[in-house]
Amino acid sequence: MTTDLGVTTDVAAAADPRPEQGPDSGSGDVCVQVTGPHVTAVVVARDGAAFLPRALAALAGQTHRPDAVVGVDAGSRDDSADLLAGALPLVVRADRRAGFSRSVDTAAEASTAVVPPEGGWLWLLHDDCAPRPDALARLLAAVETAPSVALAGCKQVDWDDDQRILDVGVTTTRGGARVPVADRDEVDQGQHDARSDVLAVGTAGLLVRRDVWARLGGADPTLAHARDELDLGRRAHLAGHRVVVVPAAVVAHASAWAAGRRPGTGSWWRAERRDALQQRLAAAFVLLTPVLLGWALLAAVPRAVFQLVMRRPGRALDELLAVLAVWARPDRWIRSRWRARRTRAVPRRTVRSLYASRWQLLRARRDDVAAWIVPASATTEDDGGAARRRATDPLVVASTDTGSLAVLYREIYRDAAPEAGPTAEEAEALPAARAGARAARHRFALSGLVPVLAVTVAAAGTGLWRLLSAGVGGLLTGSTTLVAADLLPTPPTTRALWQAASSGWRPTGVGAAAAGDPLGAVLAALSLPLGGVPGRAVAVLLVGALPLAAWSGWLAAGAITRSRAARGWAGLVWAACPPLLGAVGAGRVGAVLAHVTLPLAAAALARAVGLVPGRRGRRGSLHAGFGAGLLLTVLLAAAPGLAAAAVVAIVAVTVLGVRALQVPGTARTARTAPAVLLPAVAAAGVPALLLLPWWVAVAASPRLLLADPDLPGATTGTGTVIDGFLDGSGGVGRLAVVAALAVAVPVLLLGLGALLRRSGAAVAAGAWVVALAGLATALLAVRTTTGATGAGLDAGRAFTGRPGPGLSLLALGATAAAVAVLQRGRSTFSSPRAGRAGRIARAGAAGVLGALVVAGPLGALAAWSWHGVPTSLRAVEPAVLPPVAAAEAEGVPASRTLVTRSVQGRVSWTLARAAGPRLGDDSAALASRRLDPPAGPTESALVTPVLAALLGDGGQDIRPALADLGVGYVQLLAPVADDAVLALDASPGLVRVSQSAGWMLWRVDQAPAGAGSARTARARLLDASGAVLATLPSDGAGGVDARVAAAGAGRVVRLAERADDGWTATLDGRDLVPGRDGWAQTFALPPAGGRLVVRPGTTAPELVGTVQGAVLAVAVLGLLPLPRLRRRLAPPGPPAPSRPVTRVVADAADPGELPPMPQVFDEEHPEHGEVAPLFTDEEPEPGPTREVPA
Amino acid sequence: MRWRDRVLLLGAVVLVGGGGVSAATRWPAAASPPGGTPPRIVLAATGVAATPVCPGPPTLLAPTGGDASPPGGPVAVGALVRGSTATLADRPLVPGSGGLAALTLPRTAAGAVTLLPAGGAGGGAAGAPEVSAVQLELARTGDARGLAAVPCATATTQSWLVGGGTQVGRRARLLLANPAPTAATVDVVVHGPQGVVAAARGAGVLVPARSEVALQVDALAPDLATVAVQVTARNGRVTAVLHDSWLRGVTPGGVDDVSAAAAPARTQWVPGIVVAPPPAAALPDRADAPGAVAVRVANPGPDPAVVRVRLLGADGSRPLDHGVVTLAPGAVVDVPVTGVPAGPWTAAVQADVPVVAGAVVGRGGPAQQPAEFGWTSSVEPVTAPALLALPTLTDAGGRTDVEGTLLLTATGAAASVEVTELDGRAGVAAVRTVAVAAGSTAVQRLGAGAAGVRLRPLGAGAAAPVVAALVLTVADDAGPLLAVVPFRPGASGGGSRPEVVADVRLGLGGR
Repeated sequence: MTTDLGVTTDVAAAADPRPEQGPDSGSGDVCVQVTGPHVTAVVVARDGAAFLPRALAALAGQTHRPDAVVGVDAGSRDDSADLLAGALPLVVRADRRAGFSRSVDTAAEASTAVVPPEGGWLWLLHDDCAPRPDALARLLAAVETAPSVALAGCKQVDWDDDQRILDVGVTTTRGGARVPVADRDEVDQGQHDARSDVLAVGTAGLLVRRDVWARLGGADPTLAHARDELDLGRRAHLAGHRVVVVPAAVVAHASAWAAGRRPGTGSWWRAERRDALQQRLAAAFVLLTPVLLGWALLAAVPRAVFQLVMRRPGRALDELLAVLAVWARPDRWIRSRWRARRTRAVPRRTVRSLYASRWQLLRARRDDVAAWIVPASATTEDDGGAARRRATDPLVVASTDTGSLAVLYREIYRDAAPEAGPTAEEAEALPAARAGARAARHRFALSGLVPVLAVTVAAAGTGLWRLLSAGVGGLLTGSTTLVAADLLPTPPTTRALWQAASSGWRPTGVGAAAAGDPLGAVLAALSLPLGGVPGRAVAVLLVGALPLAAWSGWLAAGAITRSRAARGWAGLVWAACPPLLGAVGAGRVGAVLAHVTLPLAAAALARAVGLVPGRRGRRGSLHAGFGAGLLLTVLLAAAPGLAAAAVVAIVAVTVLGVRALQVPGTARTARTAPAVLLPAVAAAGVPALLLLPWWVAVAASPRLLLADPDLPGATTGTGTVIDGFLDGSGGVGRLAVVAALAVAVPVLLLGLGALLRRSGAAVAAGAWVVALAGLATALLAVRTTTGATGAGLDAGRAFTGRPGPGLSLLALGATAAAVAVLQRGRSTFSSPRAGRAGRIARAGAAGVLGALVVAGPLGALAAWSWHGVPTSLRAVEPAVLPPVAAAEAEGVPASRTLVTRSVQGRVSWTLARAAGPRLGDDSAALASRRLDPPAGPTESALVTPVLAALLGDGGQDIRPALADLGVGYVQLLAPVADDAVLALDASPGLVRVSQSAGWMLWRVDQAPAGAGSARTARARLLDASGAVLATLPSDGAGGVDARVAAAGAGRVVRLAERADDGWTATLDGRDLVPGRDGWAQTFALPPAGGRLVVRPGTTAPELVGTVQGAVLAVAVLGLLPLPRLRRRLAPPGPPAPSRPVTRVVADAADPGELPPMPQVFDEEHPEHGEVAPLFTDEEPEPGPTREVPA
Repeated sequence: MRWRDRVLLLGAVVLVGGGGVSAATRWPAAASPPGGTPPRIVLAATGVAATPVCPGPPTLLAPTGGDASPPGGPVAVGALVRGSTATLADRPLVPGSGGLAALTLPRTAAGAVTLLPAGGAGGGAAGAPEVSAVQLELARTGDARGLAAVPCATATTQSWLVGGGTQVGRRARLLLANPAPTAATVDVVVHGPQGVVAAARGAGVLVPARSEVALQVDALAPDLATVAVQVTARNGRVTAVLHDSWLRGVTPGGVDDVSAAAAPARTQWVPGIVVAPPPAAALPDRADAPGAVAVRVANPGPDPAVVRVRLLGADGSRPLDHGVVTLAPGAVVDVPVTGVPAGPWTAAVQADVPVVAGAVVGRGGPAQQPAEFGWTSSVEPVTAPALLALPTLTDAGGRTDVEGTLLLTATGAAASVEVTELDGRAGVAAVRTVAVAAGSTAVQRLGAGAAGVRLRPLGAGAAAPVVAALVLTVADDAGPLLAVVPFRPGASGGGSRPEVVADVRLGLGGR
């Protein structure tokens, strides 16, 4: 060894204070070869003071000491330089912006002098990596046996937990996406130790041949540090070298930048993304680069949205900025291309086999999503038992499908039922034995739900057996839909239902302006995960109503009680509740949805304001607030009658929540009130804004507040009030009454009894206030006329609101009070003070009471299912019209079909716009409007004369009237009356086209006159004399978008739609003058031609839609769980105070005596020990400290 | 909370809740329909189904204009309307103070005419409007000598014409009239003594809108003495009349129109069989002989029929000689009426399967003497007020008095009928109440110049059904001319007034 810079050699020689060992001296260590190749260790530090001491100590502890050690300080702003200088004999400085590769170059140049001519190796070390003592030795052993290896890397393990693998070599897909070799938090059990050749290895602990490094020029300097190992590895491959990972050589790596533990550096994600794009561009075929650039720009947006959904707004910004950076600096990747080309010796395809497959990427992504859904902390920091429990917990497994409900689950569970709640497990670390016991209790808690679910599934299955056996297949395929007394067939697509619900134009009769029911929008949203078929959502809600109600009751009861029996009972009562049974039978989707949502909304609301029985002074939860807001939106869409009760409830619980914050003798309230108020505002604001059009309609017609969206069909709910109650509670009949009483009486008695108990009377009182509010709502509803049946503005029979939702609220309050009693029942019935006889008596009483309260709901369910559901529910084909008429109705002419049935003394009719009537055609707002319709003819006034002429057998030519109504077909339904057939046969222009067992169909042939069509259309172009010039294509809502030719003056566009101020029409963008022809909307057309666009202007302004979308996005984002960052990714502790380090200088007194490596493992550097969490869980309360399992 | 407070709380909750519920049970529900009762419309009051169609002068409907027989005599259509206005061949009928309008229209042009009641106007009047029209044709000389009368009937989908013959010298023209504005297609099936006569030309006869076609039944099924014609409309409706004229050599054998019989039933009533007093008392045994009186029965069904024919006369029921016959499926048979006293009779035809029936009333002497006959057909009992018009007919020599005789038969219990005789200006000439003994036939002669008659069954019409016919005779030197017009209930138009209900759930299956 030369001695020009003897320091280095000396240091190198002195780095190992231990005597050199013989080949077989160390049991675990590789034999150290004294005459190995020359190795220069390079430690690059930048602001790494938090990690450097351990890194330097590890370097010093190598069994094979490097021949030279060079420290590079890349412009650190902390005392990294001092640490380096104190530990290493040679420290060079590099520019802060030089990057890793240039820093290494600087070090390499500085140490050139000592390098033997045959070259040597560079051992690259970061300031945040600590190699195991035998790391270098094992690396050298690997490279010595394989001369073709130019780069050899280490297995990287976690800085804090060396049982956890970070990576074993790095690979990407061909597209450049990183594919981790090891799963998240995989425990090192040697399972990856067989790997050798890889695409690249991490630069922490990388052993690289000096000459190769020089020829490659190091990693691409234009890359940030994020991806330089990939660049290096790939180019080394292309230069004809091997890149291997040596799993036996282990380095602990903090990945400080990526983990956010290195202050003052930019975003690692942005750098990573930018480098990935740059590498992709550099590696791609040259002609593809413009495509890739465009693609990167296009893909950035969905990627950013994805990050937003994952609630990582910073990363979303990074995605965009990274693409912009690539676009802004094309010179970078062009230089990268040139650099890669220069050193390439073998074809590109040689590296192909080292890329990861798409499949591996997908698997990794799946693991990411799974880790997101099941928070990382649960899987990483529990003893593993929690993870297993989670995997076997049906609720959690199910919750991955139901998204927000999973959140709610956690939110509700956080405090209420620690034995079942995963977050409770996070909050309390448990020894393994306790965790096992807890898991058993968790299963026990589930065991309260399982029997109830079984009972309700059996009841629903038995009760709906006829329906299920007849048409369940059709329901799945969408060929049939459910209809019932109060349920119309659902539209075939989510889009159609959404449009109907969000439009202000009701496509029934000849149309009318009225707001849609928000229930349609909710059903549309619910149907999205079901393949976009609303019929399935309705079927799931109705067929699965009982189990769903049992589940929601069970879930919500957890907010009050921890007793599994009480929760199971609550679920049972909730499923057997008379309002639910009645709603299922009559097909009232809204009432069913309200019943299922109500307990969840109530529980979420209580949670949002921190009201948890038995715990005072809790803050609210914004998550729960958004959850409550969304649930309230669903609830109010399904049952607007509960709006008043909801407002009262929000105000009341907010006041209670703020009061509960008060800790006597402190001023905590003022400071923490926003923690309750904000969630309450979220809970109130989300439904207020999402249902904005509905509130506008309510302002116009306040009776809508008691209307329900399940418009009554065949059922007449207009008897006495008691009839109304029974109608809402499962049908009139002695059995139904008895069953309803059997459910209600025990619940009411228990709930009233709760008021007498010393403890919990306050809860019971609150519950009874809710219950009485429900009762008042129900009474008001059945007293209020909310609308009338009919088509369009044609008023038929008036009907009142339904008591169902109000009764559900009554049941909620009473059940909550009753559950509070049952929860404490055990203590009541097992008083330790009582004697033996007293205990027996108490046990007997408990048994009798228990049997009574369970027998009621069970009996009601049995009666409901066994006696046959008093149901009008059935699965039918939704199309009423024959295919030919349906095609024309839903096609371009959008003609209507006059469907009629003539039986003795009664002629029924409807104007069909589509294949059949559909949910969403009508709305509660329109029904209410029929009570006092605006001026203008009703549908009856329009259609009855036509019917009289058609069926009156006068042989009258009624075609002009049919054309005005847009009627293209006339259909006669069975039972086909001969008179009617003869009359329709005798009507001029009506041609019988087809018939089947259930109907006969006539086509209306308009006499072809001029350019007019022989077919009817909903939009027609008339000349000044009223003759038809042409028919115009129109869409289902009556809108027109067509080209019209220039012609004479006086032309008019006539729509077979009711005139309304909302209609707008433009010709080439110029507004047309609206007019009306009787009841119909017309527009005067100028002589010029052009593109004619007619729209019903009653659709909501775009601003409203934008606001709604924004609110929904905020609410959903607020609801989504914060990905739990792993706690080991903690920020550095307070920087270690600078302390004097004994400088080891070249002119040391005794060059032969090595200065000791600094002992930095002292109590002032506890970084690898206990660390404070970076992102605390949102629970600020100090909980029991977590015990990290060894 | 103290114990007392908790009890008070409980009491408050119970009080409020119970009070609310008990108050609610007392309140009636609020809903009341805003729109009132659903609208009602009048159906079938003005339409094709209510439009009587008169076939027009049959003699003008020869196949070609060249050999068309000249009109045998005057043809007139008389119409009566009660409770409504109407137009007869564009001539208005406006009811006067009595609520009735009468009009007699001489016919010279060919083609059918319709009596078109105005729609809806009668909505305010009590009861449904009544209409009636009868076509009368008289020829005292010529080949077509005779009196032919046919009630103008509304178009139907199914008609049975039980009468006529296609022997040599006899012509049977089927007149199919379609008053509707759309074309009708009909199938004509001729039944003979042996059953259905296959005739391809009878199938799918197109009757254009608002027009009339004639079909030669004697060409379809020649040389049959007893025929019955079944007319079935495939679509649309037609009025079918069979014009039967008989020329025995050069001697006129009489003319008459066969009107549609009642629908097939196991019991049929054929009113209006008037057996002339001596010297014509010796009725021929053969039904196809001139002057014969016979009941014709056809079996439409696929099963053989056993038919029994009785006669109800002035003194009650009387069985007919050879009155029990067996009919093959589809066959037609004539049961001659012999050996009965002169007087009015109504034939009661009973069978074990549904049959249709008609009857021919012949007048005529021996050979070389002109004969005459009139066809009558089975009818259903009159249960509601029914009108029958009697046209005033003016022949070349001035006014011709058509003598009308009303025959009323109580088919069940004794009945009484209010008979209102109307004069030429639709005024009421006379109102009588005629009592009819059970199972017997009563006779009521109408005054001269009567324009029509209105029957109103008194008492329970269903319990004491009455069938009626008007026998018209014109005295002539060469022998009496005769025609029979049965009273056909339902010929008077009525309308149903169904309620009209908008129902958006229509067609979604059971409710």
